[in-house]
Amino acid sequence: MSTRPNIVFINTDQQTWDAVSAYGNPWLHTPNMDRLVASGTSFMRSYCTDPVCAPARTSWATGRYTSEAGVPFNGGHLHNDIPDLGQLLRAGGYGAFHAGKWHVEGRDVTRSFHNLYYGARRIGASTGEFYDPAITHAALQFLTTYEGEKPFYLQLAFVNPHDVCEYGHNYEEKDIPHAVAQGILREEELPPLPDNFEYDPREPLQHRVIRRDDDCLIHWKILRKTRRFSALDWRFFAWSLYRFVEKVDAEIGLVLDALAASRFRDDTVVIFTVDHGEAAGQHQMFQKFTLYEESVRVPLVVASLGDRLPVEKGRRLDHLVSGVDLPATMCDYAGIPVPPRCLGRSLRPLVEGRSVPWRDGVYIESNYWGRALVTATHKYVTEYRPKEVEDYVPPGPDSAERGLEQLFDLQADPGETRNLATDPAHAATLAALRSALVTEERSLQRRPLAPGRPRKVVDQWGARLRRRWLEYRPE
Amino acid sequence: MPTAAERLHWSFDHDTGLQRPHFGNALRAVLEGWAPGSAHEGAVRRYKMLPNFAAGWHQRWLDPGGELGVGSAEIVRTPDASGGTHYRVRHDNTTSGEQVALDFHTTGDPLPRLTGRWRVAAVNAAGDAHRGIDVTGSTEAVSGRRAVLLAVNGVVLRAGELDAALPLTSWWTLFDALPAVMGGGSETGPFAVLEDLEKVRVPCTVRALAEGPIEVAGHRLRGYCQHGAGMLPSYWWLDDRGTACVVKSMFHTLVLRGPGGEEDEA
Repeated sequence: MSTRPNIVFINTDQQTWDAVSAYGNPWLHTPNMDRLVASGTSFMRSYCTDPVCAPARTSWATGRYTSEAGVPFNGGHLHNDIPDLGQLLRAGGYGAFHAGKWHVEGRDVTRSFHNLYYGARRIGASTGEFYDPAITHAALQFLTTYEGEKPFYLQLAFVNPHDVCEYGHNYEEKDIPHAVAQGILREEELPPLPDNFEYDPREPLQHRVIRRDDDCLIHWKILRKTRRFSALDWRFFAWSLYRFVEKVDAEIGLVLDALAASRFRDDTVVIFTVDHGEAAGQHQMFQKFTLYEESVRVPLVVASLGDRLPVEKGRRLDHLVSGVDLPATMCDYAGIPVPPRCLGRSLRPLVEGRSVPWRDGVYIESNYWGRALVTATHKYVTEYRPKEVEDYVPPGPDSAERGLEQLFDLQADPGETRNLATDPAHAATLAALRSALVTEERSLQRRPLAPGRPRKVVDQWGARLRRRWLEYRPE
Repeated sequence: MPTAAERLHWSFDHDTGLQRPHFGNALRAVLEGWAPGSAHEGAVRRYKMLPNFAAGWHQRWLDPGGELGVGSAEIVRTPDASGGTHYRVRHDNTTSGEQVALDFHTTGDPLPRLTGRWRVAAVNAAGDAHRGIDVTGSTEAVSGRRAVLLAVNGVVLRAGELDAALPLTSWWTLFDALPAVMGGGSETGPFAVLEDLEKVRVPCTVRALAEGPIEVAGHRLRGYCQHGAGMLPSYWWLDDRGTACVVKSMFHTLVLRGPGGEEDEA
């Protein structure tokens, strides 16, 4: 490549890895995401670094895991000395433009990027119905008028299908008939209950405190209502999620139409991914926060609508990749050095069909204390117990006590319905993955969280977890 | 929290603990501003746009103060020379910052079909670098199908295709066409909506809600639900004259301001 390509980074919010019709899901129709799949390389084993908006997005911006970056939950604060992608690209001679959701807490997007659109009431978590059409308008205007001499990086951060969170909130304080009772859908129009609707209750305590307990830390009103959900209610939930995905798919379609019709078509790499997934009934859960596949596994496609760039089209790879890989990939395409401690690896060689050594496992964090390692065949999940005296350094093997564990055979049990952690037949696998996770964690430079709200969250959640551990009796 | 007697219908009851000021009071105040049975044959309908959730309105730990509202919508209809209708729609959203003007023509069919060229002019009042966009639309026959073309700054996008026999309309035509579209039945056949006059949503349908009429602020309303590919259910509550008085999408509820829309804009 003689010149540096333009980069369009399209992301959506809260979309499970298989909520793309090209990947075989018959319950939704996403012709525009499918178009990207056909025009590029799909990474079928792509994982977020942490299944919540702000942490996952911070990794996109910095190439750091969230325990390094200072944003291990919504409410964190990115350490001031860590550079973000906008700053790097601008310093490297790119025009770096942003439209849409940012949610990298502690960093003002308008100082890192040239801000095209961020809303009158600045975009928070949801409300894609209001913001997404405006994001599209900003993109169309940009792609049809840009005359800058610099190559551009255009970041389009759509909000949907995150609006499904408000779908859940809608149930908190009222009874809503399911769609069949409303008379608006026939039962056969609803997707079936997921195969992993029934789950193995041997879960980490943190997991239960976050998502299972009556007074769970996040959205207990929704949890209590979903406990009264019928099968049809859950199925209507999934049906609704898919409509939100289709909604944002059409926005993406207009952007792709504009790019395809523009003079930038042949010189632009399009990267599409999602910050985290949505359970929509899997493991009888809603939203994210957990380390199950539906929460942490996301679509990721690197594509080109033209034929000039060396992108393997229609290809699907099973390499284990992470949200932490995105900045390294962007820097590689932009021809600028990857900054120190940017921990990911560039996907570009894989996209171009080159064979390169690759990692054996993907590391994931959740809710400050949760950890997971995913390999080609298994997933290992564990947690740390809260420290007795909190120093606000995210826990690691050198500083905290290990809690409960899960082990799943992803080949035999892709829905993660049988926890094998206490099965002697899998003891060797468990030990190997436990060791590999420790190795991964020891390579991190975990730092104390910023004072203020981040530490308050740790205090509140930690106190609750400690109480749960005091009550805990092994089954 | 509202009492049971104060609760609105589940389809547009957004008096959750997060929504301040009181959603129900705001909705009723608009409907109570005009008498049931008032004639709505005028060419202009104005709606107040209420936020359904705290998200997009205020952060839950902050009291937003002031009047509940995220904007307004105005629909102006005038007969055109071909027997159809010329629509001019403006909707302003104080959350997104977009002020959108739609200008289009429809046929005189019970389900008005888009015809000719249309225009979308969106201004971004949010103070960002992006100031706005001007889009011109049209359709083009392509071997038994119809392509939607959008022109932006001289660049023509092919924004979607549909079966040529399928009616293509705007969501905004349903505000006065819904009774004719239903034709006395409980369900329409499939049709296509060009959402925002930019995105093809096909297929779409409208079905009458199984529940009977309800009464809100003295107005007797009957419910319908419209949904389709890429469209979450929107709930439409029409009075006995077939006027859309309350229209609820996922994030906002449009409440009719009364004949002529005499009230000031939000």
